[in-house]
Amino acid sequence: RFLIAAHLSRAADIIRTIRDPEKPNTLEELEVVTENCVEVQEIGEDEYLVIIRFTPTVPHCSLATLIGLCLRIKLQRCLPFRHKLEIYISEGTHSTEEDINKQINDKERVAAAMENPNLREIVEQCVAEPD
Amino acid sequence: RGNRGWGHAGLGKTVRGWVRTVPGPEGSGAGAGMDAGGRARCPPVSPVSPCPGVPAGAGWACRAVLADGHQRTVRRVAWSPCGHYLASASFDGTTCVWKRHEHGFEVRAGPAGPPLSPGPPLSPGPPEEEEFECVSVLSAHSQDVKHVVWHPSLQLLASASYDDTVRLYREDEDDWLCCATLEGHTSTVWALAWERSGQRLVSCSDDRTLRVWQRWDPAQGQGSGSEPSWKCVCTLSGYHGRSIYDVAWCHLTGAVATACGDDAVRVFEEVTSPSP
Repeated sequence: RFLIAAHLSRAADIIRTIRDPEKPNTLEELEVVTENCVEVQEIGEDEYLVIIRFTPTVPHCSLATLIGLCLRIKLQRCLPFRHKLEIYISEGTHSTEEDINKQINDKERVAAAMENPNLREIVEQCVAEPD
Repeated sequence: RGNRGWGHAGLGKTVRGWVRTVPGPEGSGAGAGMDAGGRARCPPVSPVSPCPGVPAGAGWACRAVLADGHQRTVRRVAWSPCGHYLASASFDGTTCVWKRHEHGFEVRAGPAGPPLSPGPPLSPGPPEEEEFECVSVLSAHSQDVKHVVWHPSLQLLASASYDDTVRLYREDEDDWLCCATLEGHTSTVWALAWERSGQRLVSCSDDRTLRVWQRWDPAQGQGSGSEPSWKCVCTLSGYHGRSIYDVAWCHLTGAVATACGDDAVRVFEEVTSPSP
């Protein structure tokens, strides 16, 4: 379907320029996200489910969670169509992936994380549009 | 809810208790003049347009600020059916039980009492102790406590958590203990609701299922110390497209309603199979 392909492309464009929290590179450059890591499904009239499966560069748990948080925040803010969002670590890439997946998909935990000024600052820097 | 007041949870870490400053229909002069002890006092809330029949100047006064119970956001509060206990659930993973201490009433002669009191003839004097005492900090859950709710008639508390379990607590002498752990959900349990009889409890979860738990009392002759156990007697799966955030069990009709992340409200009714 044309719309699904367009939404998928839009989502990929939004996430490819997110900066890694640690390194001076984008998530696309570090291959944390690729066009293939985005899936879009129609779930209702004009509503789509967007699923992102990202591959963290290092097995460090808190960085993986932070990347997940950046993905969620930027997509939530920038996707122009009605959507539900699921963010997962791609299978087999992390020892505590279930724990991380659960955290980054819990609305309250995400909101609580964004209330933490240190975390919020990092996320804002990572998702800021390049000049 | 409760016949004397209600509490609310806030973004901060405090629990606040509020009491009406006008006498209720029973003329009890609820709570005028009480202080929350050494805690910061809230200014009285200015009344919104009063309802017909409610005297002008009626409003709410903050009677207690319970700031030391939790280390993180207080997510939910619930009054016990008897009104003496208040339970609070927090992101810090604990459930606190607060006991409300009643104060005596004294006759006040002369002009109206303190500014917050509209001056009914009978008002309580200043208390010597704080109105709410934290009687237990329950750390049975390993993660955020999402919901806490009292049994409809007993002093039995239920809590739901990010740790995928439901826990029940009751008072034992002077302390509260966790008397049952309900396991079965495969993700965060977001909310709970009791059936009117208190024999069953329903839980809803991020795992997109509803589970109904039934109380089983220990068999006769097993000894007086045995705790009742709780078994999952029904799992409703395949109905909800995403996380189920809330559930309510109607005490009048027995219907169960759910709030889901797929933007739908669903209503379930128990179907009894026809007798052969």
